Amino acid sequence: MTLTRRQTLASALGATAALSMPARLFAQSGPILHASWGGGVGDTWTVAFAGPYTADTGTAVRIVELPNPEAQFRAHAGDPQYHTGIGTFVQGVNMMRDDMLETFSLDEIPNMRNIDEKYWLKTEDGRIAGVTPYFAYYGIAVNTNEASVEDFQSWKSVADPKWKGRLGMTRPIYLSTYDLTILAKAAGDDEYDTAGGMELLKGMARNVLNVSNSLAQQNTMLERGEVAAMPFYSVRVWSLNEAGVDYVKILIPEEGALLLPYVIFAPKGVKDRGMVADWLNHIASAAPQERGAALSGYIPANRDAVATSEIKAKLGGEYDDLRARLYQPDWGYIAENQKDIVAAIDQMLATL
Amino acid sequence: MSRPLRIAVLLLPSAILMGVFLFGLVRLIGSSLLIEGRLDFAYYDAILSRADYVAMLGRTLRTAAMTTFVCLVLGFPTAYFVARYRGNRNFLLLLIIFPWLVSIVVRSYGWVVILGPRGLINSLLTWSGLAARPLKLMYNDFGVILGLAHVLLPFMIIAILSVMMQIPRNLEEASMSLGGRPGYSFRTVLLPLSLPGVLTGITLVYLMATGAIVTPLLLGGLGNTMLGTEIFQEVMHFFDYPKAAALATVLLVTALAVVLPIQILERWLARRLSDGGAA
Repeated sequence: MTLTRRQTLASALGATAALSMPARLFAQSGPILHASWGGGVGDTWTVAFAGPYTADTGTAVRIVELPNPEAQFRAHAGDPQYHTGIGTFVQGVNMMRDDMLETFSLDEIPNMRNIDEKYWLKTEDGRIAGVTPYFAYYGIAVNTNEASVEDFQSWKSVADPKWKGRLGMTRPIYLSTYDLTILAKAAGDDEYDTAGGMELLKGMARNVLNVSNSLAQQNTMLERGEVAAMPFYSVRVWSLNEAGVDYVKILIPEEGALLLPYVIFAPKGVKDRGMVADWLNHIASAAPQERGAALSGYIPANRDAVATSEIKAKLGGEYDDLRARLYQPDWGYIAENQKDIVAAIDQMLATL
Repeated sequence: MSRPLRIAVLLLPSAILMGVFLFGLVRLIGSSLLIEGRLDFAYYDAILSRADYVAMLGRTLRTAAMTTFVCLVLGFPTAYFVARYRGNRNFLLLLIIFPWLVSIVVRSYGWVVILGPRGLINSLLTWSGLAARPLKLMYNDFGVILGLAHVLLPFMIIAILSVMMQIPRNLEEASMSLGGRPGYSFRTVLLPLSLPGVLTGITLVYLMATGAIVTPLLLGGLGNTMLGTEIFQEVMHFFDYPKAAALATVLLVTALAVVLPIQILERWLARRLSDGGAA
């Protein structure tokens, strides 16, 4: 068959149009589009949350992996292309304050009753703006070939000059929300008064080899022993351990670790609102959260979730025992002041 | 079709492109200057009153200048070698542009494997006893400049090469046959004639280095934040587009302050060379 130039052009245009359409079309009918971070997070959502939901209800859920779901939500504000998406609690608070999230009543998401209210992302009038399905925690990851776990029993250890050039550190954007908060706690203060934490952070900054910019880079640095330790996410160490890197351990120092709730939200004006509420209700239930814990080490938010003996062994106890050692700050306050805190950290780092 | 109409049709795509570009530029600058519909320099005041931003700007320009210098030092002899190569020049060109086939992230990570604390060089140094502990070969200015030079060197080589290819080989031969030593021939014949390419290369590399994001992120250390990285943070994390626009405008103006004189010099030189050629 011979194609004329006109036919070739028409085919190319048709293919381009077809490739550019699916997200928009799907968002208006068909399956639920859920925006997720990539890598292990996307896999967890596909296996633990989306697959079983589709099997139970017949509603397809497509997990779309993106570097930053919040950026997509903001870019398409008023014309949402996704039904739901994942973010950090701080991102959720910021979007809620910018009136970018759809809100729901408790009757629409009844499983929220089994999640402690202090983990809810809710508006001032009590409506639910996001569902917290699970937590991770922010502790100290140690490469035990390079340092001993006893070396980091306190957060204050990271400021010890003996670790000069041996620690890793994340960027100011996350230092502002995570590191500074837990270091302030370690210094005897809290997120409202971070002066002591800033001193510890300064001490840690003097010790770091570099500021890493991606989780992959942080994983690699820990795994290769380029850094001996760094404040890090429990779930990332879980993944490393599952991949056979058993010499990297996550510690909860004596002052506790930072509890990191994640949140699932729907953009304001989302299509198929009833279907989305049902999906959010599924996310808030215990069963998928238990599967998420088994797959990736996330700690379920639903208090009915039960830890298997294998998970208990890996986590070092029951979920409640673990939660008791985690510090839950006022994320609303942190989100509100994040820009100023980042500016303060940037200026502190510039003086080193 | 009449000639003027044909010219207009041919120019239309570039006119549209220029229009879109200029519109974007005006919007960019406008969004940093208009706050609630009023002209306001608040973003610029905030940026220029912060010592760390001013230091960051200085660091960005310094790093870009040093990267440009390294690219020039490495690029000029390479371009000369390729231009005068009598064998398969296309193969050499392929080698020069080969790095472009690999993602900038992968290329930058390649340096981690070579220069990192557990990298090839440090492993050799510590294994041979030449160093007691790993040297800090990256996550500092050196790492950023090296990484940027690796990424941008092909632009410098190709810019210089495109001009060198136009310089007849017999001009150098004539100079030498009249008693000029190689250094003299280089200084009085090759260098002046290749300067337009050098200046183009300098402009390209300098501008790209000032706006670099990925390489400083991956290979820079605590004190190596560059303005491009800060703009990225404002856009991707804080969604503060007016502030990002203000930072971008500051970067644009400071970069132009360097590039415009170079462009003027290049035009003057081109005119001078063309006059000399006519004479």
